[in-house]
Amino acid sequence: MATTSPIPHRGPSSSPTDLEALAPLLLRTIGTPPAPTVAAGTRTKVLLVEDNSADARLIEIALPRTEFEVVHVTSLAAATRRLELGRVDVVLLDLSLPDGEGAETIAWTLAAAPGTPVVVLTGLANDDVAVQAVRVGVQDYLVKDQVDSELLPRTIRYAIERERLTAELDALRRHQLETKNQLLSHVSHELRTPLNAVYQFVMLLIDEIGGPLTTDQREYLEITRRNVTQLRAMIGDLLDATRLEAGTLAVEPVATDLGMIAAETMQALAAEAQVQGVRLVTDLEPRLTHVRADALRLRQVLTNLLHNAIKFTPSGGEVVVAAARDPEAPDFIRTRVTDTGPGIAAEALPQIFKRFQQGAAGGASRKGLGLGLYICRELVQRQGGRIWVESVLGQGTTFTFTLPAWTAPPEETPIV
Amino acid sequence: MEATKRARIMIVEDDDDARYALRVRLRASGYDPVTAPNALYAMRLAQRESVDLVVLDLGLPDVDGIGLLRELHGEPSLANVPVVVVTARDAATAAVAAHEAGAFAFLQKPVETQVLKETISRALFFRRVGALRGGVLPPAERPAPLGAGQ
Repeated sequence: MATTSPIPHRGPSSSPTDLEALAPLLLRTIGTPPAPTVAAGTRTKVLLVEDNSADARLIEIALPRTEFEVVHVTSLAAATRRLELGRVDVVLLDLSLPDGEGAETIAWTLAAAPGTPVVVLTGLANDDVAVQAVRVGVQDYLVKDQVDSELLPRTIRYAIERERLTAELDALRRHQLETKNQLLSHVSHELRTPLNAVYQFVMLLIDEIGGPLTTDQREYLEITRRNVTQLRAMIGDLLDATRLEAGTLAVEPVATDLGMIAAETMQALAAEAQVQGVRLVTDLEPRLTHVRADALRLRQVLTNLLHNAIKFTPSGGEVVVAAARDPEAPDFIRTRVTDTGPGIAAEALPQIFKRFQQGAAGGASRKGLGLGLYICRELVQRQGGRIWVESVLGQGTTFTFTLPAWTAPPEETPIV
Repeated sequence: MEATKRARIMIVEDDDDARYALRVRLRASGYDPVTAPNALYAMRLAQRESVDLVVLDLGLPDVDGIGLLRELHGEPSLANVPVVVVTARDAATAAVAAHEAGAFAFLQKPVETQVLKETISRALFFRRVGALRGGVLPPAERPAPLGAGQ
């Protein structure tokens, strides 16, 4: 522990109110080594950022030397330099400094000393500033007039302890999140294997490889197949949502033919739409530019949106997929999926992209985990776009998402 | 199907039931399937019997499937045998790794029967006409890595 203190030299004290309390400070300024009973390094290192020397002195007096080692600087710049040299246990921060004022001072200090508790000192009892300070992450605040040798050490001890607990909680929370994600990921994988086997054997039966089927047998197996497929999709969603949360889902945007993906997706869902009695319509801008997207993930987004749209549209209705250059942001391509379903109540709209939210639209069938739209939003955002929903009860729903238009570097050609 | 001799397809898959289902499926499609539950067994089988194509599941217990893919291609009797990789893994990264290691095609589980059949007959066609180099198509004729999955 360095014993050289960057406390600037100051003249004789102007009005020592309590000489006894002032003694340690005086001793320190003339370079006496730390008290032998306290090993260097076990004391709490306080970085005092205060340009008013009288205030600074009062604070140093209030901190017993046996417990605290005060490093005093008079500007934010000096505080930053000191913080770069190494860790301090707590920062005592005056809010009006020559190179910083109020909230700006706080933000600067919090950024310069991550993980170090900051206690703010204010000249007057201004609750607004204080409340604001605590809200942005300051551990406590003190009004200078009220600082004494009992309150200040206690405040510092508590601030340090709170910061430590916060860090501990944070680490614990991160660890739990990680464990949960690992568990979900593992479970999803393990669930898939037997489910795949069920699917494969059901398909062997449906394809009559195990022998001819009666009409009833075929119907029962088709129902089994439909449910297995649905379960498989839910496990897939769970796995994807977990990976999105953990940041381990691979999204690799390249030049992608949006029109082609849209056509493929609609073809894949054509049977579903037909069963539901819903017409699928495309309205793509002619000579639509490629987008910068991950083909697999784009297909996933479109499939989710179309699947929802078809599911909620009554027989005789239609679902339109439209794509065109974004009129508000010409570097983007805007894709819309519009249905003629029952619409979504205004109060449910803000919740719709959240996890485990079941569509609040009218209608009875509520199957699934409620992860589809959450996954859509995350995937669109990860590909540089945004997604939103517009709906009026009784007049259908439109989901719109944007993706960056592909601007090909001269040597590159679109690959998908 | 093959007019003369049925093509022998080696299935490398650790899950017993998945392996069984695939064997039944391929036999019903007119192929002659042989199976291996792990990499070691697969290598021995490949040395003993002539194989026309390998369907390889990437999640094997004893070695990394990509490692096995490289080993299979290193085996002289298998040098020009196409390998169709099947996996439930995260598609993008696995597909790239499989292609770099010389897989003929990459399919994501669950594989639709039609897609698997088409991929196999295509691979066997290329093998018959001698278009494969080290088990894979020359780069110009390769399909895009992600194309076949869906």
